[in-house]
Amino acid sequence: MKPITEVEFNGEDAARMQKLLDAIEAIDDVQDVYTTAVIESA
Amino acid sequence: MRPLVSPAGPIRGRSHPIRFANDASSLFAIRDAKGRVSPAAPIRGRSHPIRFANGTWLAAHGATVSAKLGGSDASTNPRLRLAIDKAAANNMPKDTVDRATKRGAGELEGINYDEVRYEGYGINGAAVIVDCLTDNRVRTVADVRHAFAKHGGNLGTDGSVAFLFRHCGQLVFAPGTDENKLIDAALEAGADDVINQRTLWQRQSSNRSSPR
Repeated sequence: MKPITEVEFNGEDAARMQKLLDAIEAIDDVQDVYTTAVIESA
Repeated sequence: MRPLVSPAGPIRGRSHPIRFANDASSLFAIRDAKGRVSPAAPIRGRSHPIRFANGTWLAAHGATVSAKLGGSDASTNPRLRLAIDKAAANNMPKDTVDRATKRGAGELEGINYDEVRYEGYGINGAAVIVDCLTDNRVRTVADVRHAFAKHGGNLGTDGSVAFLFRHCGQLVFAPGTDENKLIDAALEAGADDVINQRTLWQRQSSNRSSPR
């Protein structure tokens, strides 16, 4: 699944978004997670 | 009195020993009626399947579901082929994959697994799609909803963010492929984009003694 639009994240929001995605991926039943968020790896 | 569960001993009556310590910091800590965590607490209320290393559990059931949807022949079922590749990448024995495939095709009896997709919003309204494989939708939706709620997102309804994504395929070519030829072929076949991941190419080609 390719996002058509992207949302860029920086600083604190990026960390929060990453935390959310990590939490979702940590669930046993989850196979794939797709997001429109683009997290800058600074 | 003899404790029912030794702190790190194998569970009796299982075909393979699973070692776990009943420690309070674990998500799966077993608690008694008063909420205490003790090595002697009986095994009860474990709703989560025990996760095998590296997602093998999911890989196996991915093969089951793929076979259910498209038949057990990997050469005509690309979904199954992908699931089998993923399983191989997780070092899963071929036997296990074959069994999972057969189960999905209805040749073996077993638990039924369903594929479900949840859609939600993250921070700043960023869209998130979560694909799950489950034998118990009630548990899965609760887990996903909880993860969203805890980290500042919220779970939306079906179709609320799906329009922000497009399902598409991807073909990957070996380093050293003639780029111009590739682009020509891609355009003719109606591809959206050709991405040259130069860093990856360079790293891969540096490992080769001679570029192909």
